[in-house]
Amino acid sequence: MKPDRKDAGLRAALLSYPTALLVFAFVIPMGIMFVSSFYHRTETYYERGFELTHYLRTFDWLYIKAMWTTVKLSTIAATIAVLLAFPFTYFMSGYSRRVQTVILVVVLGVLSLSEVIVAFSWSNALSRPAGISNFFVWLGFMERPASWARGLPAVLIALSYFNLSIAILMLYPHCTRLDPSYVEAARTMGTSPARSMFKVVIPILRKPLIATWIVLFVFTMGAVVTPQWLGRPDQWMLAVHISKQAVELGNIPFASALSIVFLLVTIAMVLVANRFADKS
Amino acid sequence: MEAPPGRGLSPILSTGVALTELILSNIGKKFGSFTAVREANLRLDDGSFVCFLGPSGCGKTTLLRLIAGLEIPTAGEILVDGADITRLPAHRREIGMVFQSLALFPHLNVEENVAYGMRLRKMRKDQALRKARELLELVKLPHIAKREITELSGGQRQRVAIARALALQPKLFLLDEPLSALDANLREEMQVELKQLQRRLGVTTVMVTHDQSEAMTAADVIVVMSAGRIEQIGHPLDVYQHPANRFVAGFVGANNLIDGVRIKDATSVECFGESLRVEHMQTDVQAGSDVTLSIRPEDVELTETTDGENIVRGQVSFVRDLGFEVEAYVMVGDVRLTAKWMPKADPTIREGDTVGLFLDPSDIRVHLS
Repeated sequence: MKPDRKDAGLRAALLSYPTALLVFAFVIPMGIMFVSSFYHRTETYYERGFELTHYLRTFDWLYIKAMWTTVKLSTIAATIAVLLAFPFTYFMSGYSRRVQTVILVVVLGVLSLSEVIVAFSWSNALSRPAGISNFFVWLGFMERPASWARGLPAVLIALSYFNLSIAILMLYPHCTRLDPSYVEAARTMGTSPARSMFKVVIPILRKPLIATWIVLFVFTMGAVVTPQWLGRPDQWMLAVHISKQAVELGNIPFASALSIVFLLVTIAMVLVANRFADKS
Repeated sequence: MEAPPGRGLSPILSTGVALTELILSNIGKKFGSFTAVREANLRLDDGSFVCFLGPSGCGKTTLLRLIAGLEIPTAGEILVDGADITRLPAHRREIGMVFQSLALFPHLNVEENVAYGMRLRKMRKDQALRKARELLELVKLPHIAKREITELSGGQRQRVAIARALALQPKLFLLDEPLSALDANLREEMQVELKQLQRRLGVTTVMVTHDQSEAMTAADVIVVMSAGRIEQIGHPLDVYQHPANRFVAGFVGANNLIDGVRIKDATSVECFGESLRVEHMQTDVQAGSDVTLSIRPEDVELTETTDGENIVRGQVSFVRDLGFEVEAYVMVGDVRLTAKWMPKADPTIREGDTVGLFLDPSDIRVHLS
């Protein structure tokens, strides 16, 4: 009897682990944030209370615009990354194992760089004194070096760049596991190699492609450093405003309210994207 | 009394099933320094069913892929009805192929899979789907047209893959170990069905297999391959009864191989220290050269006596009665011979018995070592 009971206890403990982690890592912090979004802001800090002022303030045109910018930039950056990463990964899966490993190590290396380093590198690479424009001048395409380090293109390049590594790593197992007979079968039925990409490969990999897009989209939504360093204020994404409220101004209740709204919008977008994945 | 190929089918299927002649001439294929196929010569007649038979890695799948256009040969040429298609890419050849993994498209349902090639050729959707239904009827699966591929059993997938490969009325019907994923009973059933289907349609067919009974069931012609080389081409029974060499003798069907035999003269060999008479001696062998004998288990006869012409003595080491046949292992010296007979013949023998084995001179085959 005794060992049985011990086993049952162990089983229960192991099975409750996911729930416990979920509660401690997600539910409790979210709960605290949710509650504090209703608190009252004071001159110095904040105190307990219940008011909807912070939520009303999120409807300020500034934040609606920032939210729109966030969704727009995340959508574009995720799409660019998937469009670039998919053909790369698909053709790479035809290389020898050793070459694949080298490529994956390089890609993983890029991923190990923090957003700070990526943003800094791109701001340098797009700047006037040390940037790529000098190279174009040298080639004779341009008259004098230019600064591209601030603005929409710079933000999109840096965001997509970071996403590219994630996209490659996410698509890699699906591309290598894809049975080459699918394309061959399509060929024996008259599909040219180029056409089989659109008739067979992409439709079969639709779900992983959309899943990858969703992950990239969510990652990009939370970008802070890149838009702040490489963008002008009208390219500031919502997370920049949230960090400004929380860190610089100490307005925790408002930052919380913005975060909750932000979270809801993100979830809504993911649900919409998921619809596309399930539809056949 | 067989109906001519193509008769009795709906017009949509019977018209355009053109009989096709395929010629492979000195085909070779190298992958880097590895030679997968060497000097393959083969001529397939109109409407015949050919099996490439051999162990894994013998080049049979490569040869099939060369015919399909999925690989391009490094030597030789391929002719279909007189036209050189050696370098024609797969999507321009009129072939239908069933892959080992079947490769049914998971994003399409059953009828869409079958209709895929027709839709690609801009056939109207309702027309393509109607023809897909007819093809599914041909493989006895008209009721599953709307199902997803993941909902099908192994046998159903098999049939859908066959229907899809036949949809475009290919000149050549190619199958790469199509039945290997099925369990034994279903596989035998499908072998028979495949053969009957092919006979009805009359389409020239090439199937790759490593299973000799599958090859014997389905094929009009068997091409036995080993190490990239064609070892023998012939009618199944002919290959079984007159294997061209030691490899074929050992690979096609169960066989007793006796090595270390020496030629005595034009009609006899020295084996187990005795002189054995053999009828089928190749003419070019010299007295004193080493050869291998082969004799089928069903041709090894147990005798009462242990003396006499072409009788060798041995000790029974194992007996098993399978109901439909009895099999015994007999040690002759350190060579194990297998004998098989119908249970009704019923010589009662036990393990440990000393028995005589009669090796009929007309059943012994002689292979140069």
